Amino acid sequence: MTTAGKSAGVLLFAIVAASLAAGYLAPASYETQFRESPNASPCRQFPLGTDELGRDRLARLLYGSRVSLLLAPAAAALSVALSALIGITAGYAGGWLERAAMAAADLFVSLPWLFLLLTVRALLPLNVTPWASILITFLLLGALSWAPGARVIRSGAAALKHSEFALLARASGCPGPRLLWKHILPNLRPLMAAQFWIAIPMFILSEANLGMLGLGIAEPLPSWGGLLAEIQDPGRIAGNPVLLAPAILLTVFLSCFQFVFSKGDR
Amino acid sequence: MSETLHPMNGSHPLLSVSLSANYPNRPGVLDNVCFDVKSGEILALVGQSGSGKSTVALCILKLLEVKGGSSSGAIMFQGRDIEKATEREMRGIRGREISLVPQSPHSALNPALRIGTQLKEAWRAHAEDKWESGKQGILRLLENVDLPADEAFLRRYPSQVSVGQAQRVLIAMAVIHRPRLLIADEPTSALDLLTQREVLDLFARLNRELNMAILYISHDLLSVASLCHRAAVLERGRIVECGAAEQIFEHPSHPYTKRLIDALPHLQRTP
Amino acid sequence: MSFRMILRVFLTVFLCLRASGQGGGELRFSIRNDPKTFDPLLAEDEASGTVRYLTGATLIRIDRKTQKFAPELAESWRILAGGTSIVFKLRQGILFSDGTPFSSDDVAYTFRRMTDPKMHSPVGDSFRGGPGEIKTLVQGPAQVTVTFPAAIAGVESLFDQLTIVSSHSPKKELATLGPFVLGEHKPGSHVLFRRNPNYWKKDATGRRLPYLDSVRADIQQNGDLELLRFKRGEVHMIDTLDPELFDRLWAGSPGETRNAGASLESEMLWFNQVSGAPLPAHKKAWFRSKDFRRAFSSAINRSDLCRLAFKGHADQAAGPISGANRLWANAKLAPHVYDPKAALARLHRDGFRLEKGTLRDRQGNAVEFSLTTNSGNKARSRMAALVQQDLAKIGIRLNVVPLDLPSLIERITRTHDYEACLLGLVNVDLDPNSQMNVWLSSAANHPWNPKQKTPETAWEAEIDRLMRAQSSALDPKKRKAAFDRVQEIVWEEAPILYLVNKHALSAVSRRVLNVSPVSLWPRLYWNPEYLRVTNQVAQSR
Ligand SMILES: Nc1ncnc2c1ncn2[C@@H]1O[C@H](COP(=O)(O)OP(=O)(O)OP(=O)(O)O)[C@@H](O)[C@H]1O
Ligand SMILES: [Mg+2]
Repeated sequence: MTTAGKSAGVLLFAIVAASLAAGYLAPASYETQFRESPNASPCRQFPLGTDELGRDRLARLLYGSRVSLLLAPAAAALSVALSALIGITAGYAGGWLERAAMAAADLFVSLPWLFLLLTVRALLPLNVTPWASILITFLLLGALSWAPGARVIRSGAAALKHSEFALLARASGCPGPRLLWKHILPNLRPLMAAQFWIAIPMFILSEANLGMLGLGIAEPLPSWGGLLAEIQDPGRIAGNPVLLAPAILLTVFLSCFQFVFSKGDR
Repeated sequence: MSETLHPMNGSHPLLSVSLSANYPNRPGVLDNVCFDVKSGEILALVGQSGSGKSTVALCILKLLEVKGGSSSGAIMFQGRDIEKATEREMRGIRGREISLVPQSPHSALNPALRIGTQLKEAWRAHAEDKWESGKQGILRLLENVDLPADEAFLRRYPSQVSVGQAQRVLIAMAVIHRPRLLIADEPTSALDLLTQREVLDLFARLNRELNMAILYISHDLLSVASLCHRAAVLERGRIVECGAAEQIFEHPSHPYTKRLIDALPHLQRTP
Repeated sequence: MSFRMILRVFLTVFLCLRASGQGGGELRFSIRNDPKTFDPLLAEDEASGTVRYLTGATLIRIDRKTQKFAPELAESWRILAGGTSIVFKLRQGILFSDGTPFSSDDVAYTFRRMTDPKMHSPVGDSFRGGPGEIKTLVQGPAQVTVTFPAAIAGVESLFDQLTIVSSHSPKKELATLGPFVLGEHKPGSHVLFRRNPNYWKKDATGRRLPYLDSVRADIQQNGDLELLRFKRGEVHMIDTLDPELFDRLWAGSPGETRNAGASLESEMLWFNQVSGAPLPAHKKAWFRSKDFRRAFSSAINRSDLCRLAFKGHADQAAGPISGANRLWANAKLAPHVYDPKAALARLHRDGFRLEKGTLRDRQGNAVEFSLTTNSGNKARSRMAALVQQDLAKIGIRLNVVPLDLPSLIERITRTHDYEACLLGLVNVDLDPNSQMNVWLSSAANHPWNPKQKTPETAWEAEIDRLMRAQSSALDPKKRKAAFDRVQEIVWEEAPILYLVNKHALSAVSRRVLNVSPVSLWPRLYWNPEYLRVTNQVAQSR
């Protein structure tokens, strides 16, 4: 591995470790409101200052990283798994199944999402704990974003289905499902990895927008999305550049992650 | 003509084919193709490129649908009509009773899977017991086909073996379950002459030692002449001549066969 | 070119310059949406209200500064026959903007048109109240008597909305009596108003009003952009600012910010007390317990809400009527005092107990429920987070659920599938008669338990009685006494917890003269005929 790769790995490890050790590193709990010092500038007690309600920004950033770091990749994995399942089945089976799956994908891409998510929120019980709420959010993100990936994977699977090695596998008596799982799927890994990389930052940002619909993360739990939403207001950054910390951390995290892990996918 | 296609022979044939086949945009790819393969016999199926040889192989395995084609007729294998067999029954036959060595060794191996994994998959298709026991058998088999029989080789990817090695891997894969019939679709076309020789010897040995019938598909008349007991000549989807190998090469009766033989540079020079 | 011609050109230019120096120039501000109608009798939305206010004139106006009734087209009026009729003496010599004269016929025509059922006039609805016909009697050009089928308490306040339209002008309702006339409307872009040359008011020096030549209302929904345009000088005032934007502007140019003190807007929280609501019985029992509600209220630190959620630009609320409503607010009420200990003691008396940081009721149920609020309002979500922390101190766990406004309204008014709700309320109308649909237990907008067949509690029955009493009493003192009592009951029973009253925050350019922000709508241009825009920057005071 190159020096750059190594340092990216170290950085990545540091970010993950820091977020996991948030309880030890953060000077205060993410929800404690120091109401006497709202909007504090960075100082010894609050290394990154405090937010409008006097909550420690560093603590919120660390805990927020934990939430987003764990859940965004998990949701991305779910989304890719669904894309793969639907895409491969459609591509391999062909015929009406393929047409149905692709029609469903078209439908999914063109659905009025806002409206649908509102309905989803209306169906959920009101009393969900913040953790359950964020879990549901990412679950939804993962479950609903399969369509574009499924299209890509479907065409990949359709091409592989006609390959010589698939024919040989069948000629040696391999049953259909096993053929998909053991022979075709491994060839689609690079495609799926690409889907995965695109999904992570997308999900982190969508989570913040879903908050507007009452679906995102609930008070007082922090998330990167919520912290990023704070800097939508350009007038505030000028006065307080510390607000950019989550954006910088997210960028660093994603570039390192990609740098380290995408090496494996040749 | 049908007399010549069905040589009187006492024993019941292992495989008896009488077939027509079409591709959607190309009707009449096979037009009433009839031939027999007897138990333990090596039958050559020769013909020009595009004459329909691979199609015959796919028909016998009932895999023509995968390529979009359709077939009609009868394929009697060990007294059973494969044409009427269910997909489930066919899965039991493919790889265990009838195996295929495909035409192009490299594209027939899955680039994303290790050699060992692919062998294991072929073994797993018809075996339930522990992989460890199967693995010993497969290592012996690799030795048998002159491949390095060690873990390191099993861990390689197809891109890390030579074409000849890949061809042998495919042969080993095809004979794991000691099928009654091996269909070898131009197994030597990608090989140099020396390697070709070795592979041909391998087939002869497998045929001898395992009493395995082989349907040897080729356009290489030389190898056919040295290996096969009988030969059938396919021209544009029709069998135009069928008989003992020496007889066909020495006294070809059909003009197409004559042209095939005349086209051979070596035979012309040999007195 | 002859000398005379040059002189003429010179003179014309000079006169134009002089006129522009003397004239009031053009005032520009933003409105949120296009007006839905230019017919003053149909106006309902805020933008149409702006058009009506700038172009129309009424018989009686509520003076936005003093909150008292002031004569406008009526020189004087008298209420007769126990409140069933009202006699107006009209000003004489007034012309509509198109030059047609104004007389008592126009008042009669306005009433006929407004009460025409086919018109569906919102103003008409507020006058019509009960069955029977409203009659007008024209007694000469300068006097008219309006007779109602039944006495209306505080009837004068209704006239503030009633713009007089011309009975015979060919321009129909576009002929107006207000300081401005409608110039042009480019949908999605702006509405332009021009000076009404026939406007009847004059200033102290005898000069004809209004001073302004024109008013331009740009349609702009985005508050950030509005502030940006204000800073560039493209608009001269912003009538409502967020606390954030206000502070941002204040940091740059404090002289251009205006805080008119507490506004009529209240932020409030209430519990679902609907008996048929899809909630577990023990939760309904909490919400129906006065002690629970009062304890909840005194566990909320209202001063922190003002300081942190509104950056200090809010006052603690005592009751349903903001102090900004000088006549009707009950001045004796003080905000519920923040005292978590007292709150816990009160809960103990009601059978609750605090166990390892969790409050439990008699049956041992942990007190945990959701607080719904509308999403996208930053100040409100900050309030929710603060309330959540405050209540955690007495062991109550609140799950804050921001919902989009339509589904929130759906839950509150139709499915009743919510537990507690945090929302804001604006009382545009000062008179308590306008709040009948909130306080009557049978009303559809009775927030905590709407459409009751009969009042479910004694105190709601008492509120019903008092509200009816104030609406039928004609003596203002009696009305005030009854409504004061309503406010006391609400304070005592706390069906709605009033949290804060937002300040009326606005911005006014130094170039605009005579602006005097008030807490009532329209905050900045309630005296449009006196406003001026100069080219020089006014001295900052
Ligand atoms: N999937 C397909 N769809 C349509 N036509 C096909 C398809 N596959 C093969 N063919 C055609 O069918 C004919 C027979 O093809 P086949 O592959 O059986 O030839 P072959 O004898 O094996 O030739 P070669 O020696 O080149 O392998 C050819 O003319 C070919 O073009
Ligand atoms: Mg072929």
